[in-house]
Amino acid sequence: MEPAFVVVALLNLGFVLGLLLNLGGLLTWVERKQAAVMANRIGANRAYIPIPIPGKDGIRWYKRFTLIGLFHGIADAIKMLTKEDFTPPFVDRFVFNLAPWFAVIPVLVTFAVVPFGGPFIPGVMLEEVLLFVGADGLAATAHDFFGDTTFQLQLADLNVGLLFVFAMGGTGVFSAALAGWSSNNKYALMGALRSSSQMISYEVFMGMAILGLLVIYGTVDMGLIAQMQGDVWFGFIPTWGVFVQPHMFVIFLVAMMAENKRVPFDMPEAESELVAGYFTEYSAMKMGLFMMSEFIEIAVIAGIVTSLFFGAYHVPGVHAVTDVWYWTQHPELVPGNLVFGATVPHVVVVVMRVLSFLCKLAFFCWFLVLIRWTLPKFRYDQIMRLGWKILLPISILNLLLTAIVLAVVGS
Amino acid sequence: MSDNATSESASEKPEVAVEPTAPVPETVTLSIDGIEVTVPKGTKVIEAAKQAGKVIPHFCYHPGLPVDGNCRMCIADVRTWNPRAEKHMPARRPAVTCWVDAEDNMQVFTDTPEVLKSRATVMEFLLLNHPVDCPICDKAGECMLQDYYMLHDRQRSEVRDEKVHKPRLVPFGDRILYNGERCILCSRCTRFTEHVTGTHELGIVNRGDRAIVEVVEGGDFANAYTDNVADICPVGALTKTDFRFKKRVWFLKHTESVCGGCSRTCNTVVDHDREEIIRIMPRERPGVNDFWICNEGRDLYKELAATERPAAASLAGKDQASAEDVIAWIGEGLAAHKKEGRERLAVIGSSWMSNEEAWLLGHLVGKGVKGQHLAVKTDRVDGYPADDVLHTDDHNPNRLGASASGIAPGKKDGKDLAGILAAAQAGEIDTLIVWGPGLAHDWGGDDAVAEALAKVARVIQLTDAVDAVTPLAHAVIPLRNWAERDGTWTNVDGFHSRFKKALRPPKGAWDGFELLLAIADAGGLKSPAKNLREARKKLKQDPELQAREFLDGRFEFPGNQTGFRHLGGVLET
Amino acid sequence: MTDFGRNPGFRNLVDGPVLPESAYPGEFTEGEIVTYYNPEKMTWVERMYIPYVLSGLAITAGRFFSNMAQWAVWFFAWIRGKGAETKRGTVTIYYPEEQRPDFSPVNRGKHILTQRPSGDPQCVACYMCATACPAFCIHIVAGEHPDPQIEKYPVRFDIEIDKCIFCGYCEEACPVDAIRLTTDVHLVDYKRQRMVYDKDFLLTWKPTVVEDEHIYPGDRPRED
Repeated sequence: MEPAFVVVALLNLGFVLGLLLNLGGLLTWVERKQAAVMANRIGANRAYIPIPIPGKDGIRWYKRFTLIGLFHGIADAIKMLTKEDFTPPFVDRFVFNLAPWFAVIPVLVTFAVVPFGGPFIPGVMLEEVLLFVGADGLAATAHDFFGDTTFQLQLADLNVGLLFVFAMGGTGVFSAALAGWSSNNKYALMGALRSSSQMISYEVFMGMAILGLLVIYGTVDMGLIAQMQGDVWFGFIPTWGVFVQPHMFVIFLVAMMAENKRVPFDMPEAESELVAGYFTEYSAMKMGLFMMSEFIEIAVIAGIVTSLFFGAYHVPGVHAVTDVWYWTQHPELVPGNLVFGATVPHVVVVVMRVLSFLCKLAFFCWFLVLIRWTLPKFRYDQIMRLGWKILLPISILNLLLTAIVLAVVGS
Repeated sequence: MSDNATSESASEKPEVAVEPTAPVPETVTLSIDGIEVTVPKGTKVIEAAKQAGKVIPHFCYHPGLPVDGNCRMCIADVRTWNPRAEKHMPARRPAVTCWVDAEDNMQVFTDTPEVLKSRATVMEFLLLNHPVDCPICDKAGECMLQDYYMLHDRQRSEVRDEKVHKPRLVPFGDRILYNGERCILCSRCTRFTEHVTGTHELGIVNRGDRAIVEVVEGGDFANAYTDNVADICPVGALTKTDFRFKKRVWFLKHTESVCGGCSRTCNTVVDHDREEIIRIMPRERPGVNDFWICNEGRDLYKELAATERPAAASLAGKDQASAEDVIAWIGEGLAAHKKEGRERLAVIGSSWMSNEEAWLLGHLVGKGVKGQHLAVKTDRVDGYPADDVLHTDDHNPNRLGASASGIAPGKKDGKDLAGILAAAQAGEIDTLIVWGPGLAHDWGGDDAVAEALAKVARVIQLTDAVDAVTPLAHAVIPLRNWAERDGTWTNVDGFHSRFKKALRPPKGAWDGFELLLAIADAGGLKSPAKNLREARKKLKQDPELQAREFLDGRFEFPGNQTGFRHLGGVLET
Repeated sequence: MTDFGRNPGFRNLVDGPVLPESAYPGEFTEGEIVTYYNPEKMTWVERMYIPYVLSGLAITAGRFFSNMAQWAVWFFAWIRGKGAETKRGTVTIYYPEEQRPDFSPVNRGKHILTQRPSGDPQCVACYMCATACPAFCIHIVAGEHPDPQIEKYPVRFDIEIDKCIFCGYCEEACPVDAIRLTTDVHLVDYKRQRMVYDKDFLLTWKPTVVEDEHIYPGDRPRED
């Protein structure tokens, strides 16, 4: 394996892990603060870091360094790490300890196939940057090290990308099922059963909903799907998935939210009925892992939805030299790094794309929290009816129509 | 006290002249608000109405006192039967039902509009000068004036003049405080001193709105029954200094109990709150105490609280002995004695044991068997002297019942108290079981007890109070006292009275009956009853007990014959 | 002595005519019956959910953005030192630093005991408040007052303020207007033992005075 590949992979890994784990903590703050602002309240604002101010009569402590409540996430983490990790005597200890990891790891791994910046050429990019700052020798070294090879700003450019997402989503069922079963508690078991049935049901038409899009794109490789959304129709409509099949976007989002098990689909937890659902018996950081997985999953859902329906990292009118699919579609254009027709360095386009992805991600995180604090909880039968009787037929019908239209119009 | 004042006054009344041909009826039948009742001849209408379930309101009438009829509260529409006209004669005015004898065919209407209006008027008069100071009155909550105001008056005072002022906070002896402003001059208290105690200390002096109750000149209201006047006072004019400002009565819980102060075993109500006895009140029991109890009986709860009780079960030669260890030890000892050496076991029962405990203990050690030493000792020595009203000279409740139920010497060679003492001094006793405190009195002092017990190999004391025996005993098990357990006592006349558990017993204190059952279990002895209920049933059927004349064939446990008024409920007495 | 006999608020409950009373005159027309009902079945549009979900999202999102805008306006005003006058995007306040002075005069807060001119409590220890108290938080020990005209007074009068539910029944039950509930609501402490208010404390009450209408963080230093 080439050393350049290892370096890029490690950088990608660092970026993704840093992004997800920080978002997991940050989203707890976002959730609290956004809910407060939506309800005319102030929200979490008490956790502070005391800052000593030396004065004449000893040290005074400044206690208002609260950063609008950002430290509450840290306080939460400290609390959950230092609380008693109580394992009830009646549980199946091995499975009980295993279940939280089943909650976190699939969620983290899912993000591996999300393209957050598209293809890029690190050798060219670094050279440009280093030349710009005046380190000419270093620039040559960097170019030599990376060469002209094109890498992906994506942890794993799998050709089965989307299937991997579904696979990992399916693995998530294990956490709830195992946690509920091993807890040896009626509420937990009830939560686990609800969770299993709900997640399995919604995975069915989550796949169905996306099939129409896959028929159009002709691939399940997330990187390719992202690249294909870089075009523009009629000069102003981006070829994003949401403009191709907007109704499927709604259904896919609903299904993803049901996978996330939050309000309005929080049947498995259902505080008013089942104490805390499948993790009733968990405490301290084990409980924290479940909570963390939920918050990270928000970010993951936002990432997947962005890359499937909202053009991933694409900014309309911005094209990089690495956009192979774009140049094959528009051979009349000269390949190059273009921002609305103007030629720019490669690094500018890459940075724009990563920022664009992050902005879209942030927007969807906000939107998911908005939905969670707006809609009331569904009843269990309503969830099942909505899934099997409404969303699934619509998805199948859509697949059929898409196939017919494609067959008639021709690709 | 077999005949009370009511029957006395009733018998004094001249009999109604009847036709010589007609036989004199023993009973009369009359209707109260349409309800037919048959009552003995000479019964007052108010009592007949009570039997019909109609409580006619009253202040001065008291079934335990002679009729006075001064409050006019018990007025009702009484129509007598005219045999010649063969119809009921319409009443010209409401009659005072506590004064009128019930007659045959009489019609009584207790709640016609005229009667209700008359009652409201009477109430208005009674409340004219009443200083409605219920917030600081100890009677509030069980005050007949309050209750009848809510039931029969409910109108605003129309008086605009200043109310009459009378002496307040006048001490009647040490135990009673008199407030003249609250007094409605019903004369219950003066009649009590006149007819029940016969001491004539109280009287109503002055006339009109200056009339007050006073202790007669040169006298002191200090007889043994003074607190009863505060009980029978229908308002808060007479209050007890003992209960003054201690508790509002609506916080009290009432438990039926029996006074153990003397062998009269007056039936009482223990009023308690938060596991503490606040006061002791009399309970109606015809033939035993009627309506009264003495001041000593009221103060018995103080004696109870001051008693030093054994902290926990103890066994000689063993630290931290649990009650189970001690019980096993006693049980094994008893079983051994039953097999051989019955005559080397002596049991000294208590005159405060319940009948059931005495019966079971007697059965366990072999009651009536030849050579069995069983005796009842005197637990309590000091008390009020005997008098003609209630008090007897025995200051223990159940000497008769305990000995009749089972703690009696065996037929032959069975030793009594003095015999057991002599045997113990001679070293002829191996095991001595002592129930309760106070052995020193019967055995002639602490030194004599110590000397005698030194020669006994195993001294076992089951007790609710510490005495001279306790430090010498080899095994001690704490018991519950009379306020903490259920049981019956038999009084000097053979009447049985049942006391109930009022307080939560302290930790480690055993119910006597359960303790005996546990001992029987531990020693493998056959217990004649499995529980208290069965014991009572068998006790009732015991031919030996029935043969006793004083039991009179009625081993009954009186129900709720309460002499106190229930708050907000039916008004009695 | 206190004359308990004339209570002007007394109603004759037996004979007095019961007059019809309208609780809120003028608010409803007499005889008008207002019926609210839910339709039995949802309409087709309602069953689609989506329009209603969208309208709900619009409401909450609109509230979010308008509040954020207000916060932004307030933030810039606060930088310029005009935070106190500017409206914030909230209806809540930062409690310990900011306190509201505008409690209703009939707000039920901390208890006080009223006094006689001599300084003794007005209370006669009748236990009416303790009896009426649904939380059993009033504990009284009665005693003999040296003045025979007063006769009974509370030796101890303790209120467990942490148990109190501020229902005001004690105030209503009191026959001598000895206990009142004031508007003071700042009943906080770090020790549960100090949450038992005794007679002396209840007799010597100083009301908490809030000077400014709104005091925002940063305007006044916290005393800690």
